[in-house]
Amino acid sequence: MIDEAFIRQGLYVQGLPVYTTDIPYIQNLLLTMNQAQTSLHVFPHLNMEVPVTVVDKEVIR
Amino acid sequence: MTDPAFLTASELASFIKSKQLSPVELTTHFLNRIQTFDSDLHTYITPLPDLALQQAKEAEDEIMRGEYKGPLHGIPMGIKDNYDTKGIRTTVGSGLFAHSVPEKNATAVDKLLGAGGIMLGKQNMHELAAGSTGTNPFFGTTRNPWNRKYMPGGSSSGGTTSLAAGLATVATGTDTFGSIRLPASMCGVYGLKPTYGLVSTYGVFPTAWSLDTAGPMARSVSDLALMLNHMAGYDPNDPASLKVEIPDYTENLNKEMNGITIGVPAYYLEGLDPEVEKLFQNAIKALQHLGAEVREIEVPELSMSTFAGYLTVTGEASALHHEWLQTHSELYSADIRSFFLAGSLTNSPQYVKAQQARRRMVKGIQEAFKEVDIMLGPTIPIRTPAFRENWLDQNLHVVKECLPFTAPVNLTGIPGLSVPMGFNSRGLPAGMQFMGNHLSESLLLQVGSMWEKINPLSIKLARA
Repeated sequence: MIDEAFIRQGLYVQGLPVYTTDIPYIQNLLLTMNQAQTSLHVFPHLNMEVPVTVVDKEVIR
Repeated sequence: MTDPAFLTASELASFIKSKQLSPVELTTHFLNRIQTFDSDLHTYITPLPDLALQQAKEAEDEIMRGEYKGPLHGIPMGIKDNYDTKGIRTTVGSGLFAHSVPEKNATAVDKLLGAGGIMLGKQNMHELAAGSTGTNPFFGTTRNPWNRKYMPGGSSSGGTTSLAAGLATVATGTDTFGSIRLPASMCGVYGLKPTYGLVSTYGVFPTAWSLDTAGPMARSVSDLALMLNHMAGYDPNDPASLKVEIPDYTENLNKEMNGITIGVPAYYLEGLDPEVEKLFQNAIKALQHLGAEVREIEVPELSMSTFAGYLTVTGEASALHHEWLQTHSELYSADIRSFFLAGSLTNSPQYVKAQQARRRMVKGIQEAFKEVDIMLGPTIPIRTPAFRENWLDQNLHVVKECLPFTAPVNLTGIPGLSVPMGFNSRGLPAGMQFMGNHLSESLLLQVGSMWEKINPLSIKLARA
């Protein structure tokens, strides 16, 4: 489980609100993301991929 | 004639064009139904009876003068409340924007109204288009029209519920990680998430820029095609808008499926509710009877969908909402606030890693489309849940279960068409999604229309 203090401090330093009742939800979400990150290990050369980014056609014109 | 509230736009158009049906009478009929049923269903945040009647009168006058604009002329429609509408409040289903009144229409709204559509009102949605249940503490929770104890799905909950309950003929939706297809599946109607950039999102309030897609929802595939004919097209105001030729999306409707190869990624067969699995297997057999070749395929890259989906949605949404969260956090419900705040606690390398995963996913599906014409999977792996008392927890739980099935389409930018595939033992609808390569909407609509022929929409409960 993600440390509650990490969540509180992480939000606090960004000037974001800390609601005690939100903490379990945030913990759960971060845990889901961390667990899901293990799916990347099957693809060893992922770091060579060019990230998908929003292409702003204003730049191309 | 069937109750006009349950006819499709394609059916209504012939009556309207031949002047057998008055747009004013049709609109009045819908407004009466909204007044009768919507206090319970909560499909509209802002009904617009006066404006709708005014637009209907104009449409009727034009048609009487012989100035018929086409099959959407005089058709009553619902507009999701994250599409800007000039002079009409656009809440995005959020307390934060409860009094926000845009100065311009979204491009898609301009196009639909330009085609002669009648705007019945602004439709309810899950707060900020960031949830999947349709609960809304600010404007009332939308109820599933097949059973009010069950959720309609979200975020385009008002649109899909209004279609199933005969409170609109067609509706607009948005889909960032399933918000058109998921509620279409739970309400038993059709929803198309188009190719990223095909429909302008200018004037549509963002959820996550790189995933957001606007699209049509309807009670028939042909109505989706009619709407897409007007909604699609280049818009210089939208930096992601595609400059491509727009075909007539009705052209391939009802063409045979012979020779079409459908791949079912093994990924979409994992973790299914047994009833969903049974309905899906029956659907595969029916598609084979229609002449399609259906086979299982491997697309291993889909396994990165949960990571890439969560990191992209929460990362982009947290950036968008950062200052509002600092100053107006009380105007968010706890599930959405937690969703966005979690994004604030992820880091840039993780976000970029998610975008690398998306690149690999695109390559994976491009490989798959060398083998098959389209892919198929259940829209969501679960049966439609009943509302639970702890709806905050439930929303995050439903997102966690369904996002892996809906997000691949958004993460790779491909189109996805959700169609009804039957009813579960509780009498609630379930859906499946056809997924095609980029800009393959015509093919998806062709296959969807053939599916619709053998599996026509049921309206028995919704009518009651």
